[in-house]
Amino acid sequence: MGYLFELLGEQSVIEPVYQEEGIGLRVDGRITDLDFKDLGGGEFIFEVDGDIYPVRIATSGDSVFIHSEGESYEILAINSLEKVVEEARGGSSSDSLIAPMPGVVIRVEKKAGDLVKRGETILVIESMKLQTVVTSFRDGLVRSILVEEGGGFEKGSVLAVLASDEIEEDQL
Amino acid sequence: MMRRIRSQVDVRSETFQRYRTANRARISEFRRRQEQARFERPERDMERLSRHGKLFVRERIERLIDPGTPFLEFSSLAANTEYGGESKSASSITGIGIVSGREVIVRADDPTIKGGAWYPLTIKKIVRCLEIAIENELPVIHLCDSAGGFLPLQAELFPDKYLAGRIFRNQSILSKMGCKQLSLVFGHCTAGGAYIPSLSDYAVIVRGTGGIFLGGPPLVKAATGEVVDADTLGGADVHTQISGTADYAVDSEVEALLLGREIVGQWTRGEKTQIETRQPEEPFYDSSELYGIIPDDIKTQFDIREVVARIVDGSYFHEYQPDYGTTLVAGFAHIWGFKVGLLGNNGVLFNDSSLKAAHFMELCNQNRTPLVFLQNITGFMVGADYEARGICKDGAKMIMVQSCSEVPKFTVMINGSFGAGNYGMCGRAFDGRFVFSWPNHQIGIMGAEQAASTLVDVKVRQLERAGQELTDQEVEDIKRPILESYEKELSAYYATSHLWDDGIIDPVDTRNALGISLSASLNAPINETTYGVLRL
Repeated sequence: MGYLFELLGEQSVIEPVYQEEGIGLRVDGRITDLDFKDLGGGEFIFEVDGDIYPVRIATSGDSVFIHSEGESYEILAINSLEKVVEEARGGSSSDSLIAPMPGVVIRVEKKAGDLVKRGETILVIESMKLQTVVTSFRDGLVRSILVEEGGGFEKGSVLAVLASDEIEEDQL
Repeated sequence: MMRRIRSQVDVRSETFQRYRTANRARISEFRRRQEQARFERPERDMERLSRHGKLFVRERIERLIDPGTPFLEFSSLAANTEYGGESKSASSITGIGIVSGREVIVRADDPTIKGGAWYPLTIKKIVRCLEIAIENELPVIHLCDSAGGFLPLQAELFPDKYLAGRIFRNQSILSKMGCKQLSLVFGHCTAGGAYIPSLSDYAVIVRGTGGIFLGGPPLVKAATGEVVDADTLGGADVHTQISGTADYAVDSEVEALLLGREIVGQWTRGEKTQIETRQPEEPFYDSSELYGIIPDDIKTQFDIREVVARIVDGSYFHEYQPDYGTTLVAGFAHIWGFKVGLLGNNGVLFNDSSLKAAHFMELCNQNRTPLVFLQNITGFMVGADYEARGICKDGAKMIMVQSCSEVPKFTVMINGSFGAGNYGMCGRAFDGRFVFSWPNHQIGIMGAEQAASTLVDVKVRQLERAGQELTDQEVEDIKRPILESYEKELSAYYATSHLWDDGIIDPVDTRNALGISLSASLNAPINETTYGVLRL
């Protein structure tokens, strides 16, 4: 799998290829001949498809800054796994908020019909001397809250239910 | 390449601001107490120091270590709740520093408090720092200037296994292991104290002020009637020219310190143990945001990943079993480039979280990856359902694997440590190489309210058998003293006072404290791990 970089807002897959005449780079499927000389102190001479470019390179975290012929560019290394995970994030297949342990409801902050964002507090529970905030696992609509303040619940109890995606679409 | 933790914390939120205000107040209180312990001394004692041409103990250390290098001080608030607060830092300064390019343990007496006399907690602190030297195979530099044991409290400092004798036992073991020791004798080393330079490989003694004797002039007079002055009895020239108890006589403290640096420079540096490393990188998220993450109420839950993100290199974290046993967060990260396996609490320990912890620690032992525990634990889950599922035996697995782990272990007490959770997560008893606490931390067998209710319950049942009942007032009278004593004893200041940790640290210093500790720990080899019998 190639490495993923972002330049000027565009992402490219880059991988080295070994050719008879030195190293090449496959950028988005196209092979570019490449050679370079490290002059030290961040100064390099690059030869790309026969053209010569003196460049200066500095790195900071995930970014590489390149200065060449009066222009400067930032190249960002993208974590491919993170990108795949991010794209796959569809949220949980269930609509229910399940109690992770037995406990007592301290506070209910949302009611049926409220719109919630992912990560927003729906209720606060307490168990084993510890108060835990139960948050929405996705953007959506609260369909019902099944517990009340001061009430107890068992492990695995359904505390609240979010509206399923289909209903949401109907209402929108 | 590891993925970076994505912080969910909103630094502009009202909660963040409120927590930050609360934690900043806690930090300034900690800094105030630390400043007091470090520098507040009776004027009379400071005057006497300069009259004798002596440097203040902190200045001695400053001149000993390499310029511009950090000194990781242990237990700066030891003894802060004992002896009316007069034994500042337990009258002894200990820590890890760099001298002539070598990682060393520095141990220094403080003659501005009762002539540098050793209180019971001074002994505990010295014994602990020599234990650190043994476990991590570090050389030790002793800056000697002590009147000897604090006589009024002799029973608490002399006879038992881990009391005064242990200092000299540990010194002997260090020598056997090949760990060098240097004593710089600035003042008197009397009685047991005389063995510190005597058991060192190198001893430098300052003319005029330095002295080494088994019995000082008053004791000699009482014992045999012999009248002799301190310098004739055990001064620099006697010991470097006649007895051979010390090796070098010098004319000033500065000369002693410079010569000490030259001596350390002669020591052969051993190969460090190799573990997985990468180029160090600051955390992506600012450490100072920790102040806005630790809640103002110990009962409020927070995500331990937010703490991890502000301690580890680049905030990169490879989380192991992210969807199993979720109240225990485990994963790999780097601190100062050193690969570590982190275990942190996101709630009470269940069967699955205990098994996950045990499993993860096995991976780390096989992988030679040091373990870092971030303790915020109220305990293991209780109740009939969990007992039936074997919460005790699953907890036992976690304790067994943790106890038997041979990789270096480091514990940071970040918020709470209650009951058996303390055991599973490598509390003090489990030989973590270093244990540090944050100022907000609380530690105890259970919370104050739980202890008070338990005791009321016991009393109610006793009276029931006699056909009596408790009045509300009586309940209150049982609860109040428990709540008060727990309030005091659960506090991080009480804990550090009794050396239950190696010191309170500011949360923003956690990364550096762990970095120095990790580096120091690699002076010792990592042995193959074997376990006891796990109850499967």
